[in-house]
Amino acid sequence: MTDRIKATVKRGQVREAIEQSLIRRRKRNRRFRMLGLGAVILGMLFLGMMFSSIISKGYSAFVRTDIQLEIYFDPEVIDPQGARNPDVLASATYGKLVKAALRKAYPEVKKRKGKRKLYRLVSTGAIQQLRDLVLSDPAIIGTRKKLWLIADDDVDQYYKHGENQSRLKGRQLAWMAQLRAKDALKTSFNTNFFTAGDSREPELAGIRGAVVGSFFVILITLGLSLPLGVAAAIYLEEFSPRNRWTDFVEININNLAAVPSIVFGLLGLAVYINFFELPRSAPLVGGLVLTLMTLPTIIIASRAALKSVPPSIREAALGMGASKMQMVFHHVLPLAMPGMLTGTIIGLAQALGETAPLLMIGMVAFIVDIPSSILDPATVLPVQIYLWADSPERAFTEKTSAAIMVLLAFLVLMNLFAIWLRRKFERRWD
Amino acid sequence: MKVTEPGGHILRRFDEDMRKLQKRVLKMGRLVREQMNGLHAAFGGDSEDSTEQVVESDRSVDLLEVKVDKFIIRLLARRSPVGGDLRFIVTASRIVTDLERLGDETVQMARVLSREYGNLGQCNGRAVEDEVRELLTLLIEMFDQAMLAFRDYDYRVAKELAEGKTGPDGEIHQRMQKLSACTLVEGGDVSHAVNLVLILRSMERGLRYVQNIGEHVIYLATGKDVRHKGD
Amino acid sequence: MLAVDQREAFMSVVETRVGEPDSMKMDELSIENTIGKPLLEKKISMHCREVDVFYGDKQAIFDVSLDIGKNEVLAMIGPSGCGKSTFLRCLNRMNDTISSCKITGSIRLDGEDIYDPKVDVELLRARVGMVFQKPNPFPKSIYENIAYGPRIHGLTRDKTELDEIVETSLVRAGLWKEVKDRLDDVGTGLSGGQQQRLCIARAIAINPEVILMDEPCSALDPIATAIVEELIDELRQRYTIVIVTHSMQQAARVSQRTAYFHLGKLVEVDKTDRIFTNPSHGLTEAYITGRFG
Repeated sequence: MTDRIKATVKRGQVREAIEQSLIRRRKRNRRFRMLGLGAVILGMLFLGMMFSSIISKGYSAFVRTDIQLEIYFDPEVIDPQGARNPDVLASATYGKLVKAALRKAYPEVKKRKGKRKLYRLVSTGAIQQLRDLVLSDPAIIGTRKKLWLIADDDVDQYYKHGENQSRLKGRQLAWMAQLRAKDALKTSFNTNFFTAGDSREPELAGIRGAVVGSFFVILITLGLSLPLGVAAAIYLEEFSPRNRWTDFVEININNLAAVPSIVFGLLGLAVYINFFELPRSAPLVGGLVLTLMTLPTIIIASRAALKSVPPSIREAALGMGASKMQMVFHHVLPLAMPGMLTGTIIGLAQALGETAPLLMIGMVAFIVDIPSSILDPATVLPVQIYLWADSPERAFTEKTSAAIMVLLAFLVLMNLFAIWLRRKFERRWD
Repeated sequence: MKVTEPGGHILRRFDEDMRKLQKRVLKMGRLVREQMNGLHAAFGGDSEDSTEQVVESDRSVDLLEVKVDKFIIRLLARRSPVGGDLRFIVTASRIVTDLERLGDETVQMARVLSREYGNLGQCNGRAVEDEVRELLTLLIEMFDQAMLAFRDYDYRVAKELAEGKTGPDGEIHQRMQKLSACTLVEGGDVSHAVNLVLILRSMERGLRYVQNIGEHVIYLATGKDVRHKGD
Repeated sequence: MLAVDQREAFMSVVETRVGEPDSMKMDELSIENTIGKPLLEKKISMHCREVDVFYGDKQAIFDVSLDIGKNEVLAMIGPSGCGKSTFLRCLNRMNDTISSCKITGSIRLDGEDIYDPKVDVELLRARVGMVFQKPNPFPKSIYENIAYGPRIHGLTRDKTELDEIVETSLVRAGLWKEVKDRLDDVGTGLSGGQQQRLCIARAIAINPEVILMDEPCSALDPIATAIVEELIDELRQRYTIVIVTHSMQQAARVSQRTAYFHLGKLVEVDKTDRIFTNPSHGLTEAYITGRFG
């Protein structure tokens, strides 16, 4: 009894002490909150810097510069026989028409060197433009038309960013001034960027090939890693006995998730290309390699999702006389699905941005054609970005940034899809 | 197991309440016992004061009965007792009722005595007063046994009491039979006979109540209800 | 002999003294055997003899023998960790999911040893249903919750039959009136008490012989508890019910017989009335009156 009396503190002291400590606690709380807020702001700042840098550099890649020229569709050049045979029309040298138009527009240019400079104002893509026009409407032959033709990348850079950003010099600058005075220069939406494959000419280079390549690769990765990963996770989590062997497997899976991705590339090179002799640079091989890389992620995420399903649901199912299999597939799996899908999409997003392992299997080659199957040589978005970032032409800088924007857009889309899936399932199962 | 067992309820208040209940029942027993003592003295010739005291103290017995009843209802409502606790409380309730009735019978006898003092006549050559007084002594002895059995959960004593196996019981019955024979044989004074019958009836009932207490203690200790088994 | 004054000893005693627990209670009165006699002795539903349960090296249940009669509610009470839930889970082999758990002795359901290797555990669990401590409806619609059992066991031929089963189960669980207009709502959206009744309805949808309940009301408020208790009383007409409960009052209210477990041993099983007024064993007495626990 006396001990208890001794041990108790006076009420007033208690109050005082608590008030004192409250002040300290509040201070600490505030400090911690500020710290957290600061971290978030700093992070947002860096993110904003990255985005603004990329966007400011890359937005201009979505427009291109056109030059207006009066083209004479000379029947002599296009179709000397006059038979309007499509093969003949397709193989005609339309470059001559462009050159003739340029010579006509600038008759003062006589010398060979000057002419070559003059011809360089218009992109080689103009040839394709003219061919398409003629093939779609052969009646155009023999007429004169004012047409907007794709300008060369130097003209493009000059028009978009000014003199300092372009390689144009001397007379070329004067021509540009003339063109501008005649309103013969304009910018338009660069559809080419989305429809064309890679090219040596920056103004003609597009990301379609890389996007299609990425699509094939991700499709294969998804198609292989989701069923494999989910099945492995279900087996390990629900059915396998707990023993040394499964512990060993578990440790290995966790380790694999931490292996540098380039190692998977080397493995893919050794196994798929050298041993199974699959074609180089093919999306199939890329997908297989990325499957190896994403599998551990998916298995770990799926197991975590399975573990988080409350045991009461399992008990409920077993208590009803459901078999273990029915318990897993009727109750546990649907509840774990959102988590599994989230893990999968995070894994896929990782795979979508992966470059290193693909370099190893030859997907870094310069490929102009748009792949039409998983066995065609292809490249993928991050590799395309890497290639363009490596190119000397100034115009490729903005292409690089634009490609990054496209890649980011895909990543954001995938994450949104993951969030949507999770919301949808969680609402249903709650 | 018992009310006063060390390491009692987890709820200490419950233990206190049970102890309080036991104390109150024992206190009521003591009051009734005082009444009987008073009556005993009255039959011994210490007339007026003693009978009045007996009648007076009946009020406090009644008041205590009501108080204990209230307490029991409160215990039942608030503690929902089970097992031995439940049996104890039920037993206490029953004993309280029997004690009150025993007190009433004592008062009844005291009234007869105060009305007709010195006029109870003779039986077998002895004054009836003396006979009754001795009967009362025996009854008090049994009553004490009953209350001690209740206090100590003494199953054996209670069982003997209830079955009428103890010494006093047999003797009481013998003596009562002799006395009741007197009422018939004498035939002389009717009022003598009526008074004697009244006293004998109260005595009989008193004995019954004391035996009841024994039966209640058996229920308390064993959970077996032995009432109406012998009838 | 007539010395009244000597008896004054009683008068002076105010303070009470310790009464020795009556040994005569043990030696003079017959002790009910611990197997206990079911209410209708001829109709025994489950028959457990000398059951020992081990978790690894640790023994959780010691030599429990117990009969469970048809159409009776048997309550199992005892302090935490006394093995009552473990024993309950042995009755429909829910302990199978724990790999370290080993069971010896015999448990028979209608004369058939449920631990016989030939017995299908799925069939057993359909015959011996279970309701758990925490209401655990499937996160599906109310209808699907009830229909699940009949569906996996193939009890119905068409939708109308299934509808009927769903309705009767919900009616019997006293939930029909409350949910008939929202059978497509998610079962987990109901209140705690309704969820637990939904779980009971789900269990009776496959018409089991025995229903095991593991503290079914411990997560419910008193009113919901009362409703479930009333339901248990009604279900007794059709099913044998074994209920584990922490609430002694609940055991007293719903059961016909009560078994008291202590440290893995069955101390006493008897009619509930007797357990709660006059238990044979000192441990039971001490537990029900709140002297330890």
